[in-house]
Amino acid sequence: MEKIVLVGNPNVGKSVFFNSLTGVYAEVSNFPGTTVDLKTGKFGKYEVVDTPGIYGVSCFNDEERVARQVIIDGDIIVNVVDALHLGRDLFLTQQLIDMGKRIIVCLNMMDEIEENALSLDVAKLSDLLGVPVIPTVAKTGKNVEQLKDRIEEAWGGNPTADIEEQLDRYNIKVRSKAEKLLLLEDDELLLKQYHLEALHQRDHVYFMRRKHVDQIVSQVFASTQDDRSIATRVGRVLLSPKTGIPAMLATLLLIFLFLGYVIAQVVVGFTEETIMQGYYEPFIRWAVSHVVNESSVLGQFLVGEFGLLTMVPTYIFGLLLPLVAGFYLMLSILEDTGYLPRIATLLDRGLSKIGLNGRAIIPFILGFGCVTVATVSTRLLGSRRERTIATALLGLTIPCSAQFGIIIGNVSKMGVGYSFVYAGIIVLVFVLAGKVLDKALPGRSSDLLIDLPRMRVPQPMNVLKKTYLKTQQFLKEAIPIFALGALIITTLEVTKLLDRIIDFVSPLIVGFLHLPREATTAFIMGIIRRDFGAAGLDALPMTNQQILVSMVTLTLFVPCLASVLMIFKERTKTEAAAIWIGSLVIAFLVGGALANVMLLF
Amino acid sequence: MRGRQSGCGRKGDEAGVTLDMVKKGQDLVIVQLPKSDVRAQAMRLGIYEGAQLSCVESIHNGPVVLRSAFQEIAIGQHIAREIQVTVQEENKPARRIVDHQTD
Repeated sequence: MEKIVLVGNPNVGKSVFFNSLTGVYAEVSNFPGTTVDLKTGKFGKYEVVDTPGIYGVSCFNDEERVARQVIIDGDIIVNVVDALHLGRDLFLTQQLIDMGKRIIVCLNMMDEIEENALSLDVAKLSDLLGVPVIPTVAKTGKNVEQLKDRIEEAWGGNPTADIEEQLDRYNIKVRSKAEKLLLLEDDELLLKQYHLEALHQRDHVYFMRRKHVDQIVSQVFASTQDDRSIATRVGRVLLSPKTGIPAMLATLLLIFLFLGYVIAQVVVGFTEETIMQGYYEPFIRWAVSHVVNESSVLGQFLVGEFGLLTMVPTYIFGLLLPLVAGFYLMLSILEDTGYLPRIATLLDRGLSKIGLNGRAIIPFILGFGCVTVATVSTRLLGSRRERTIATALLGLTIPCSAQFGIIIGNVSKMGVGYSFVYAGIIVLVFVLAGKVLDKALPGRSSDLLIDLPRMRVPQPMNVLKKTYLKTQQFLKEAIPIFALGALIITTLEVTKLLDRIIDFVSPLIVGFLHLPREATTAFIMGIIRRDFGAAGLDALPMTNQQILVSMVTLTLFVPCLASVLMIFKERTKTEAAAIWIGSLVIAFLVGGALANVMLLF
Repeated sequence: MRGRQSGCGRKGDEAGVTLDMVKKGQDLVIVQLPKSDVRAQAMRLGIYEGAQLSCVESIHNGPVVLRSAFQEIAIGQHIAREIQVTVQEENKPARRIVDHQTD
């Protein structure tokens, strides 16, 4: 079956075209050996494949390696480009043309060309590239359907002349022109496959292509003078430190108010206490009591304190679901506005002091949603060193949304003064741990080099869809681990092992942290999930000082089981073990120091 | 263009001005990129020897943000220090005044 492959830079609206071609039936599959997902569907006699957003075809990261393979195997390429980012996007287009692929271009976001009173000559662009170009507006669906009728018009296009001349430099027989070009660009996988030494021509090829593309861009735009559109101006205001930093702080405050107050208190108050604990749990206990005795071992497992049918659904649907959905709603809005890369730019200077660059803010923000997901996202960082630092800091200092909600609830009980002390301690540990890692790890971190998307008003439907998908994915991962956690804790309880462990650990908790003995259970539960632990502490009567100590210790405590497993998967065993044990030791040291210092006052 | 120094007093390369010295609102031409892995990435984003760009933001001790047509690119300070540029004469005074409003 012939293959249509959708290719484009990140966030150009490829999925709209994919959906239009394939209808509702799409399959998502994992590309072997990576975390990259590929969507496939059917359009008439063709198989349609959607690829991850890339800036060029090469082997710089997993996304590129996956897209590269699919593109090499593809018959027709649908290349979606952002009309306002032609300079960036046409580099990829021209590379595809140089590969000798049959291409049709969807020139998307044409509405922004009109809104910004710019003029772009579509016919001329098509002429210069030598491939059909459809001007489209994906968000309103304008001209999107045209792609279906015109897909057979996909054509080879005009290759970059200077590159075309050199294609045969290796003088060997290869499968396609695409392979010839990639070999000329020092493609490591192909060089290995054909047992060749690199000619080191990539630089030269890129340079030729870049000049060629910039010439096209200057010919199709009437003017490339700086535009004064609202989007551009807002973007600059958010980027300039004097205005951008206050705007960023205000945005973060709004998000924390929304998550910490609206979601964690109002919504969770209703879902957890009223619905789950008020109606659901009594109902399920009543229902189960007809079949099994509640105080029997099976009863304990099903509807006991940590029961599979009581605690698990209450935590997941009453507590976690609203928090996680709320977080992903905020994140989707932030992503779709184009604000995140500007925050990364603003914070680059600060993050470079702990051996990271601005891009590391993405895993940290994601970490406030789910540390497990964030651990995977550290892959986008430029070097192994940065990935190690970011993973360690994530595991140590960033509370996930489930835990964060409970922490905010507890911290707000203590009043403003204690809240600041709490935040201050966590930030201090973050900075100090970052500094130490930066000094201790060999090598140098990579630098910031990112393109800034235009500021946009997010599409409500798109935001909701993203929120839904991410929340669903999160729940799928969380439910089994929660169930496992409940089984382990109940087993410990039923076999009285829990008491033994508590006896063993409690001198540390009572003697060093000056917390009530019962808090020990919470910490043991915290090993499985940190929010488990935080929720366990919720119910204990404690003084403000004790709440502060317990919250600080629990925040720094080891991340949940899922994150730990992910850390072991992503990092080497030694590194992962060091992160895990390090978090444990630092948590108790900082908590204990805090408890003992407060005793002096 | 030789010797045009910014006020921050950083020692420039012998050859002239580096990108980190460029001020907000200035137009520039890239003279030389460092020989490293960032080259390919930079070229994909429109930064190459001979490219004409303008600086829309320069964060003190932080990244420089360049504009090429309607594309903005943020470049970390360490790379910026290794990119040789020439700063162009300011040829459109009216535009520059508008640009400086946010200063």
